[in-house]
Amino acid sequence: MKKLNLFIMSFSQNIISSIIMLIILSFALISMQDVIGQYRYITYSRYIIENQYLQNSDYFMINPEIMMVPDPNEQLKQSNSIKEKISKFDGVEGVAVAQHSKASYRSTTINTEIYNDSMQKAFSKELSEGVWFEQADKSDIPNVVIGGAVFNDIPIGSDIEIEMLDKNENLVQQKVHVIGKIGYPWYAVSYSTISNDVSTKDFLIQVNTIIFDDDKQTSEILSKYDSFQSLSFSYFVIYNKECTDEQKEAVRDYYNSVGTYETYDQILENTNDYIRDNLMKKIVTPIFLLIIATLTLISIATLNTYKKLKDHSIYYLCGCSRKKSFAYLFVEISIVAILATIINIIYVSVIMSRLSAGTMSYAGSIIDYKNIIYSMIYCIVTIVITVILPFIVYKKNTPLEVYRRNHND
Amino acid sequence: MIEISKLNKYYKVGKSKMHALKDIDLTIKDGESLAIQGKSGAGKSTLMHIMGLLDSYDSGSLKIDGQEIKGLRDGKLAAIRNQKIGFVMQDFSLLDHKNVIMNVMLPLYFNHKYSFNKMNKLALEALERVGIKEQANKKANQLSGGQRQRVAIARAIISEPEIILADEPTGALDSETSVEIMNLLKELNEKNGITLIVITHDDSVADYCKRKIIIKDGCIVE
Repeated sequence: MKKLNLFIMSFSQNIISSIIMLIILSFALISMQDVIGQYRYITYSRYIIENQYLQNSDYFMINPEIMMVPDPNEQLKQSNSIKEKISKFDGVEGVAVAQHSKASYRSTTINTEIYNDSMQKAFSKELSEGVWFEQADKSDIPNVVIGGAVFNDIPIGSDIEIEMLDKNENLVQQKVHVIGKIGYPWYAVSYSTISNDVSTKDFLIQVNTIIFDDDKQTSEILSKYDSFQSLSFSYFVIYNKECTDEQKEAVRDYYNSVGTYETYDQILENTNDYIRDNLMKKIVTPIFLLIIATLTLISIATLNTYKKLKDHSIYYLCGCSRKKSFAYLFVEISIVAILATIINIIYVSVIMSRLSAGTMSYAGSIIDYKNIIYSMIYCIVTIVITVILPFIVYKKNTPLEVYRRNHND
Repeated sequence: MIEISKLNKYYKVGKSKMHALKDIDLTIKDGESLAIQGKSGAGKSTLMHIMGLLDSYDSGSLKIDGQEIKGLRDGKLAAIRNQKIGFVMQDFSLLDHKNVIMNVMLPLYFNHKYSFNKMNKLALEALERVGIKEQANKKANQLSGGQRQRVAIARAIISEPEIILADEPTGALDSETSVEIMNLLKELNEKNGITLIVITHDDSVADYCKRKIIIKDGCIVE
């Protein structure tokens, strides 16, 4: 208490400059966290997409104009016909597609999907716990992989009941068996993007998801639900190992007649371009702010040390050791960086807890405990850098020298 | 009791060494009042700084209450300074931007024995002893020179030290106030038995002490 009082007494002299520094530093750190979050998201999406199975693939996107028919059944027919044609080309191993539907769990709307084999092979990296369908035992209850805040507390191996609409549009309870979990940040694969500049960041969506297998047994169980749609506007087309360039050319010619496509390599290149062009531009401002804030912090700390030398020579006269005296100075110097880091940790923790509770979506970014570690590393580095100059000043000016200097003045 | 024997102190001046104190032998008994006089640069302040454990020495011995000072760590020296020695400096050495009571209780901040309430009580008592209790909440820089030196004395006595080291205590004061301050220091010496060591070049100030020594060129000559 006494020590705190002495610290407050000394610190109160720099209160305005410290508050200004705290605001700048906190703002810079929070901006930095956002950019880091975005960078982590895009590298995570690249990690998900970057796999051997997709290496020999193209991302096909249907021309939206072709799909502009008023009758939904006609639309479905059209898309299925294109998909089947693509699948039948020589050299094509499979088309990674999913059928989508909506369901409800604990009064929350969730996304349900049926993954075909290619889809499972292409995106098997997503699981943080459990296994995919081919490694799991079958039972009367359909196996599912879950992901999202609403399933956070559901352990692997448990059975849960979801509500789905049957053909008469009545809500029906469906029991499912959990065999795998998509971990935080709960991004599931989505093919919602149609553009000529597709990058890996466009393939993920942060949503509560239940994934079903595309096997016969599950299909039978799910057939009573009318809601699953196999309408696919875009998907990965996977070529087999023996596929020749000519065969690929033939498929691509077809793509061009009904839509457009991006090769797998192009997608990765677009991703790297996005990181370079977009994220690097975004990171300039927070880095600039952080550097300015840190340099200002060093200057203020050094000036304050000079200003406080007389006070500390009086502390020494009154029986405070040099070590203790510097400890007081150290706390004064580092308090701004520590407080800014605490604010930053609170910011990250609030986002994390809201994400966990499902009360917030932070799409396009990954914020987790690693962001707290980054904040702490920044804090330690800043304190070390900020303390060096004041330490040299303090070491060079012994209390006796300060006293003699003041005495001669 | 302070016992100094064959004490030497050197200063580095560029590449050469200056012999600031030469084979000093001095014993100051408990409750004694001693004036150390000498011209500027004679070494009296250096001797005071060494006796006050603010500076180190190169050879010889310094004992306070029988304890050899040489080799003690900074923390231990600080503790002795805190508990046994009170300082009264020419420039008052006060935290100008802080209030009087805060200045007076400062030494107690560095002694874990005292609670904040106790510190407050002792500070008010010390201020009463030096006659400026009513100024307790004023900032140090709002006081006159004489009042500031009284604050410094209150701070010096708050830990009930055995020794008060006063370095030119009246150097920044007018003659009338100087008399008041020296009478106060004398009273503390005579009534409370505190050993008083005054560094001064002023004979009238030195006259308040029962014993006088003169330092010349780093040696005690009288």
